[in-house]
Amino acid sequence: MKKFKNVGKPVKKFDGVSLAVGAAKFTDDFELKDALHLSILYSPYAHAEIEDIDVSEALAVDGVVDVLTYQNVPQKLFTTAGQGYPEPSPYDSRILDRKVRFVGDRVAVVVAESKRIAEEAKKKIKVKYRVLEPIFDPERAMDDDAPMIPDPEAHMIIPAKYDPKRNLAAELDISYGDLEAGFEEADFIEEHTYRTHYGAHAMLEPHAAAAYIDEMGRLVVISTTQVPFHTRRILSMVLDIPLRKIRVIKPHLGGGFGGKQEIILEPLVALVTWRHQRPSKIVLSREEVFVSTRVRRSARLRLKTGVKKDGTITALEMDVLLNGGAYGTHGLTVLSNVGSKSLPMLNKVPAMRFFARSVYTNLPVAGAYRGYGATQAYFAINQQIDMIARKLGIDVLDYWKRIHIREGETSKIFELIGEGREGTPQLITSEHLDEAIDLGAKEIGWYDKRGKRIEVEKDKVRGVGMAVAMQGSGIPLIDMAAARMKMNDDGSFNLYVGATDIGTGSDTILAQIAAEVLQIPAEMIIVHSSDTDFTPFDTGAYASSTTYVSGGAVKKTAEKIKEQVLKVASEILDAPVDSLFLEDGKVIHRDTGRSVTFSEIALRSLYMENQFQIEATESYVGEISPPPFIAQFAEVEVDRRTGFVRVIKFVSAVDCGQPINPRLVEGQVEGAVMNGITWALTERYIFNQQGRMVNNNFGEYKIFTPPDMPEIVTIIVDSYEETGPFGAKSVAEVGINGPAPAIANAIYDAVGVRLFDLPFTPEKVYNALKATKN
Amino acid sequence: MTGKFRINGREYSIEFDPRDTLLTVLRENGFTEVKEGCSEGTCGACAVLLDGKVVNSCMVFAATAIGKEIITSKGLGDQNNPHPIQEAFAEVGAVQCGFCTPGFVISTFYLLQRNPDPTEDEIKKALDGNLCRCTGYVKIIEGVKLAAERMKNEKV
Amino acid sequence: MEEFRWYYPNSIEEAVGLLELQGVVPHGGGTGIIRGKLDRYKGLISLEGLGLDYIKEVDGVVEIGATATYHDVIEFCSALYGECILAKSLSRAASTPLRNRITIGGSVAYFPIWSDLMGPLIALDATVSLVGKNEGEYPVKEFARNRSLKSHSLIKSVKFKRFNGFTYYHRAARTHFDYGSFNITMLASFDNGVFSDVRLVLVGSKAKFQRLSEIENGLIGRSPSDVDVSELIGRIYDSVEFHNTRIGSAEYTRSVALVEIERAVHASFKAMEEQK
Repeated sequence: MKKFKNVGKPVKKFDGVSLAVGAAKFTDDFELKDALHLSILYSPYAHAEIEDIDVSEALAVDGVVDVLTYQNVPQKLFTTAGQGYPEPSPYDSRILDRKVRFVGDRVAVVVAESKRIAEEAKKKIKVKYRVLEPIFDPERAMDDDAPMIPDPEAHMIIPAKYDPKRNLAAELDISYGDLEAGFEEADFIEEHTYRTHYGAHAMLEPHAAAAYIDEMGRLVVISTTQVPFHTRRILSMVLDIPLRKIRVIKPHLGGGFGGKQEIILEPLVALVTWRHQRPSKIVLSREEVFVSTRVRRSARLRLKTGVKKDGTITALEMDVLLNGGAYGTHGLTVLSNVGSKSLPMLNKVPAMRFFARSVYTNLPVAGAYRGYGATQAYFAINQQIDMIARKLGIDVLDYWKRIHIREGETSKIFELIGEGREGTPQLITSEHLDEAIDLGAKEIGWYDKRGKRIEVEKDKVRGVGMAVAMQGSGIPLIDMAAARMKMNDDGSFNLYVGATDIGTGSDTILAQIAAEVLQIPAEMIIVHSSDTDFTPFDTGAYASSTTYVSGGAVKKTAEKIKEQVLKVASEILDAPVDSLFLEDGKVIHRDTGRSVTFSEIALRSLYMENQFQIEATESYVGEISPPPFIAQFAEVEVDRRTGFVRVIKFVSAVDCGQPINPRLVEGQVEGAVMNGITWALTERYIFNQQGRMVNNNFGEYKIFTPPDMPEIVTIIVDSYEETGPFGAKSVAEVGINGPAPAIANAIYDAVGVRLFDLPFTPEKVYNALKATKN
Repeated sequence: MTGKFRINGREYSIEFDPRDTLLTVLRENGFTEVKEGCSEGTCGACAVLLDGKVVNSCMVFAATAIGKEIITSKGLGDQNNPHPIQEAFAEVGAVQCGFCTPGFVISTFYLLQRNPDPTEDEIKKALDGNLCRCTGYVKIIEGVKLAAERMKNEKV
Repeated sequence: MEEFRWYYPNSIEEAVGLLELQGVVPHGGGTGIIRGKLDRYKGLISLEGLGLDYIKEVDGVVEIGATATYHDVIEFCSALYGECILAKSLSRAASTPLRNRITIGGSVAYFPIWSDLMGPLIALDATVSLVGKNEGEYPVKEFARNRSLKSHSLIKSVKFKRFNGFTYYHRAARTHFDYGSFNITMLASFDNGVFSDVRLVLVGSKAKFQRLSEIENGLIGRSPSDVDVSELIGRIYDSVEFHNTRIGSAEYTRSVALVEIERAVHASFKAMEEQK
């Protein structure tokens, strides 16, 4: 392991105390004097056209200032996906539309002096709908007689297969090798269909947005966004406000997980504030977050593998159908990631086909969600491999070690599938999955428990299962991040990054990277992030990009600063730059030991001689996207008579390169694990026959509280990624891919039933148990 | 209606709608450390101490809190003088997005007042009304343990 | 919008008088009212000034005032005697901050189907004391069946005889903090290796709550070795019916409930064994 001063240390998250006290401000915490409050009227129908809308009574209510409908807002088509330009998502959304496409689609927005008035006035809006036939079953979405869901003018602005008339949001058909020959050659075919379900991000802070006009007449938007720069660009485009007149600020953000990589509320407050020249604000209720924001798309995955008796997989075919709901946001890219983040794991398979479609339905809108398609794919792959290993009669750990991609290897998939375009060929530059598997197996007690069906209490049987996964580190040759740094009198620095800390601690780890370059304590770096006026560009917090891409930008910037610091030091010490080195906030002359402090360097450069501001700005674009790897293990206890499943212990061993901050790395994995466990067991979108989500609150959409927790262990595997900042790769998403399949495999290990459909409700387990008995 | 409330040791006379919850009254009067995550008593982000007992302020009518002592997370400590619980949470990585944290701090304070040396099981049960989506709770439990340890030592 | 107001009576008489007002209801802890539709009400009566937050035990009879919270009851009962069924069941109800707010009176007044209070109260043969129009003491079961008793009346307290024997509580839910789909309360006393008293209550079924007297009668006077448990459970199969619940379909819930009732019975056998 390399020796570092800052990197690899559990530096306390800079805003930790402020957040624990409650001083840190979130979007809803800003006091906006005389703000207008918005309240949204949602469609009660899954598919309908507004025939008539009468807002006169609502407008007449004392304190109501405006009512927005499709009739009085700009009708430009755009995508709500907070992605880079040109967005690989269809332009199929309007701020408010004449047609509504799911229960929870927006019909009107009441603007009033108080929230209570807006909510009361909303009840007075009279809408006449022409109800259209809804489509809830994605398998039916492309039928010849299925009604068209998207806007007739919906289109992609990049070349991609998109057929709105047939409700097709995206399609990929990619293959290499001779598939037919592969299956022919196989001794047996393993073919199964897996189903994953909708999921809510359930970040604790509901979506919110506020806007005001500053003293120069510019529009300032404060919002719960993971993508401030994309938000600014899209706002300008949709509302026809010059981009230079818009400033977007992301204050403290209460969790995103992809759910806030989406431009949902910002156009409303921006429009109202620009139109009325008054501050405005909207904070969604929890119910609104569940129903009207974004979800993880559901998937049907058919996986066919040809296998030889010696374990060689001769061919693999993955056929995927994603349900993206009412709008196509992130459809193509999630679809791509189903394949691109999972199939390379099996790079030795000589022939593969990936055929995948994402369709429109009249259900809530799917967007980005931690894992971004990989989660769905690994649910299928890890169960399939478990079944194959069992058929072959070998331990699945040994089997994975034989088949997974390795350091120095590549996969054809990398070049075949990119993000809305062709991919980028890449070699795996660091991979320690075998160690991860071994360490995880040891921690869970694999060899003492696997296949033992230990009955700790009458009818309560334990089993263990595992899963492996990889992800990426940013989108190669697309994601760009920039950083700016300047030196202050006392030798401290301001670090300005567009990178968006959404609770991950990225401000802190970016400071650690800068501090490592400059050999100063991390607290000498003051971080300012995510303000489109003051920080340089960054694509935002998504695609597991911050540590690798934004971290790369910070490292380059700090290196530029270092050059300048050395130059001034060499003037002071009268010694050549190459005879100097940095240590503990000083520049030291190697031969004489004479030194000069950072503060002395700053004072000289600012006030005394050859004056200039020590500062630098640098940008970084990843050429590759080195994947983190993870091996995850679940021990479960199944109640054989009731089907209740309890996770007893969950172990993750992760290769994320050199951890910049091990505590924050563990935190990322632990959070993802818990999210993955509840998605597998208790989370559930329940719809009625009209397509309305009926369990739209935390009382009924169940995520765990502390007493539900299993024992959770996270192991960071020793690894170093040469292309990453101080050896780092990403870690934020990969941990959510394993829990569902590891639990499924553990349930099988305990009681011999195979669950292909998420979530594993006790009744499903019970029915499967009953079926095996009969 | 108008009522006098004792919030974080200071008396406030506040005018409010009789249907308002304590959460609304607190947030509208600048106590934004009390967070609104669900407004139905299921997330715990709005937890405060009401006469020494942890409650969800969204489940309390402000009218029933008149004359009572209310403590929020800011009442326990500030950025430069954090309470040991707040300090411990920050130190161990129990704070990620931090939206739920003031609520967890209050629940922890309530626990440690009544049980200075809780077992892990007791900690988990005491936090049964608080949701966090970022941490998986591992570091939060660790933070409670560290705070308990330090608070015990401080008293000695 | 009509004026909404709060009333703060200082005596029970005054509170009872206020019940005559249209659209005005008593406020216990408020957790139920806040979540409902507030526009139904014109006013709320705070019961805090009535001194009904007491819990006492006199001659083996426990009396819990209407505004005592779940938390108060758990503390009182746990301190008074170890294996208290109310401490067991109520500490599983809702969450710590909610238990500091939910009152016994408010809970009895609404008795939702997931109530963790009802099973134990029925098993304990508790009574509800009312003041006002329907002043008197009513068995909790009768009170729960006859919702009209509440009209123009105020719940003053709940009373029951302290129970010292075997107690068992099971609640079927998706997670720790959840609305239970059903719950089972079992109380039993043993005398010389036979059951001398058994009270078994199922809450959450189609009947909302039911004493499982077939099982009670099948156990009383017998020792575990004389009991064919699966035959005993078979006897209640037809009478235990469910609607769909949060844990699953009606039929599934019935299967689980029957398994859990069987487990309760086995737990009582084990307790008797250990007592020997």
